[in-house]
Amino acid sequence: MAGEQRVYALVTWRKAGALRWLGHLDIARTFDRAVRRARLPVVYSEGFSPSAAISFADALALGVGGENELCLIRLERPMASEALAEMLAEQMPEQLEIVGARVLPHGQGKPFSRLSHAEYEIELWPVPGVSVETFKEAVRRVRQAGALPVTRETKRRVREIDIKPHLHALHLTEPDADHPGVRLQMSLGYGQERLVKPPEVLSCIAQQLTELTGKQIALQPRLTTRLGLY
Amino acid sequence: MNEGSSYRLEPFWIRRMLPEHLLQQVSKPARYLGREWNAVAKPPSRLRVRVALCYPDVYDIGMSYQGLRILYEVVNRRPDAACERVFHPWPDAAELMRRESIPLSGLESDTPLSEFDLVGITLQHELTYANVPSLLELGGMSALAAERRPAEPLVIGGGPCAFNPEPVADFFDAFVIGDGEEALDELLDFFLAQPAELRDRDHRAAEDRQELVARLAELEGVYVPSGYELEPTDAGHVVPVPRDGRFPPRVVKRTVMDLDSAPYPLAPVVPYCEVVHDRAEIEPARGCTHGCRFCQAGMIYRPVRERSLETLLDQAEQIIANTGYDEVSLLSLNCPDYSRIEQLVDGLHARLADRRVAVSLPSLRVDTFSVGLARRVQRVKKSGLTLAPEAGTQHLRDVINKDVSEEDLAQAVTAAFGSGWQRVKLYFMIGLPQETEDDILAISATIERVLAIAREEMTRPGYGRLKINVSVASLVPKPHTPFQWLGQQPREQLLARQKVIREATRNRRVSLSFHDVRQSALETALARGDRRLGAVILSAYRAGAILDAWSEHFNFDAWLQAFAEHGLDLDELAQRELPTRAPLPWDVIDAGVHKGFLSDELDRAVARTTTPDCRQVGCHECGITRVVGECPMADQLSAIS
Repeated sequence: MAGEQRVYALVTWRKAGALRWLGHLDIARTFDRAVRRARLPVVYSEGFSPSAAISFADALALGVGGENELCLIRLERPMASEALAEMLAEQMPEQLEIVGARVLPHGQGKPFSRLSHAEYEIELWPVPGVSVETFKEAVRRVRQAGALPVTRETKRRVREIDIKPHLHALHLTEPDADHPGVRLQMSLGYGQERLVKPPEVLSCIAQQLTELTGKQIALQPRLTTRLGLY
Repeated sequence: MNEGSSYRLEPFWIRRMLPEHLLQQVSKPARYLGREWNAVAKPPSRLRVRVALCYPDVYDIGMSYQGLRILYEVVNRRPDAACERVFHPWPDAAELMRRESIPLSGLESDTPLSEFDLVGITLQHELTYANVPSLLELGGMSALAAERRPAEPLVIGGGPCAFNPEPVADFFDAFVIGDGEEALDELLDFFLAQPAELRDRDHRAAEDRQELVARLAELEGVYVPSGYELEPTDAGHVVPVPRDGRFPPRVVKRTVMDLDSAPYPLAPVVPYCEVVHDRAEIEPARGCTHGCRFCQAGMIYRPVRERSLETLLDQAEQIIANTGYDEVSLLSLNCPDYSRIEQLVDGLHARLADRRVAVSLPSLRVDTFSVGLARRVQRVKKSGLTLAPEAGTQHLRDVINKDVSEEDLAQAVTAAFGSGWQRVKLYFMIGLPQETEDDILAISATIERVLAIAREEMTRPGYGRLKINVSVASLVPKPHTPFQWLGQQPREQLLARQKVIREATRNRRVSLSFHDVRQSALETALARGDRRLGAVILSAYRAGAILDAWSEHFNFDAWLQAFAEHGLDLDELAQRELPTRAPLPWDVIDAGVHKGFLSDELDRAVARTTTPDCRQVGCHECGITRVVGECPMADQLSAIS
């Protein structure tokens, strides 16, 4: 396909409130219909069931919110970024907000390959019998550990992986009136070999808490939000 | 951390149904979120009547039913009324709701069911009957109409099962029989015209609510079961007889004659999650004249009425524009019969192809016209082709009056495979009257013939991908059909029939599925039941029966027990042949078709005589003109005779 000009729009969007309880396929379906209602000049796939050419950087699990999620829409022709953002935003429900859209200059069609880390905030349910100070200590230990082994299951086998090299930041915010449990902010590696998932970080912290308290501790997220992909 | 990004963490979002900490624990939480595109939430201050429209099954099923969307539109287009949707929760959510005392509520505003003025429940299938008391109690209401407190909303039933309302009559204050578009509007007008003392839920007395219910009988097409006493018949049934002159001896069904001007949902609610049918739907026609003798829909939706081509094309465009769906489906009992079907299909393509919208048809008549039509239809997307021969031999097809010949089937299948279809679905029915084992073996022989044609017509790689899905149902004799008097074959016999087919059809390209004979037996016992079954349904529900249409939840033992508890035998009721002279529990409902016509059709079935389509050969005087005046197909018929 030499000489074919591919035009893409990079859309930044939010998943919040009640609609955090949609799964990735539900979100993809919603975008497909929004794009059709907006009558955007989108490219459709060929074959039995033509769907709008929209690809997402990464799926957001059921229950997880996102502040700066990314998707790429392939267009038949260029159009003004503001117009696209406005037309699309009008067709999205309140809790799936369009934060922005940028029609990319030709040749920049693979922005997702450059993503290297993801930031999350996780609010936890309070853990009975575990003080904030103990939590802080557990977080300190995780930050200072030489290695953080976790087990990861693939279809074929179970591997042990060290996630420490790709845990870039980890902070704890104390509970307050609106948030009865602690909040953890973290910056994690993203993509191919670098990927770290929030539950893996939680399991490391839980392990430290178990050691510190002598009790079997499991951490339950109340609210998980991906702040962005960078 | 990226310092530049300032984000707003949502205030912790709480809704009664369901709060966040419970959403985390249930399967498919999207069922309980509401907030869908096109959902209508109106501020309560300007409303004079609030309606909860319930489908007694889960969201995925209820949101696939077009009738619900039509009624949602009928109510919501009125400025003085609002309609909210209510579905039965999945058992995991239902348990949490009971444990935490969370009432079942409307999806639009989280208002508990018990706080509406009117609760409508659509009855599409007998296997949803146990869900009715469940839904009411989850909503904080009394399951039994006789126990309802003054503040409780009126509970109105509708849908095809309302044509025999007796088995579930104990749970309902009233039923609307037939087409709901005009009837529901009238019911709301009627309700609003009543004095405040009767309407005001918070201040009315028990007698006021009773009086309000009784007055509903004044409306055309509304059946109020409490206005009737029960009298025994020679056939062992109890049948409703009016208590006094307020209640008519027969309630005549409602029929919308002008479908063009009937309200239709042009901005239907679009679900987020996957549901069974999720596409734009237009309805070219209502009713069918083929007269298959087992088919209730073919009898109760007479006469045939059509929408104009222009209306349909406009509706399709508007629905697509308002929803963003990628598929539009034509809903009718027999799409190819629509008088301008080719123009409709071509018109839809012309208007929608640039938006990559596919057009689909439900099950087709078995003939080449239909296949040719399907080819026109499936230009954008080729899904499977569905054909319903129903019986394996011509003589049995004549018994059931299914107008399909061997040649029709062969030609249709040849055309299908020749055009590139690789997936075909075939529907068959066992337990038919006059059926012998040869007829059953003929089903397998038919499948073999289809395979042989496929081998001939398909390319090699095509044949390699061939998938034939065969679905075999058991006859369920239904009220208001010629077969209503017939007993269902015993379960053991149906199982034996299934085994014959399974053993005679062994081919990896063929996938067989059989309807569960226990579900079919229950369906029959309920479908032809009388008022005594209300207690049975309640007992079954209390014993744990729920979501019986779902095989994973179907609890046959709870039902057997419930029938026995009330001195009844499920199998006996299903298998009992009814005397044609005795009054039937559903005689109180006038579906328009003469009982004499039905019994004549039964005689003709026994004699294996067919009754061709009246649109082809002229009027058979089924009786519908008595109810609607002139049959809309009159000019087509006079052209013949």
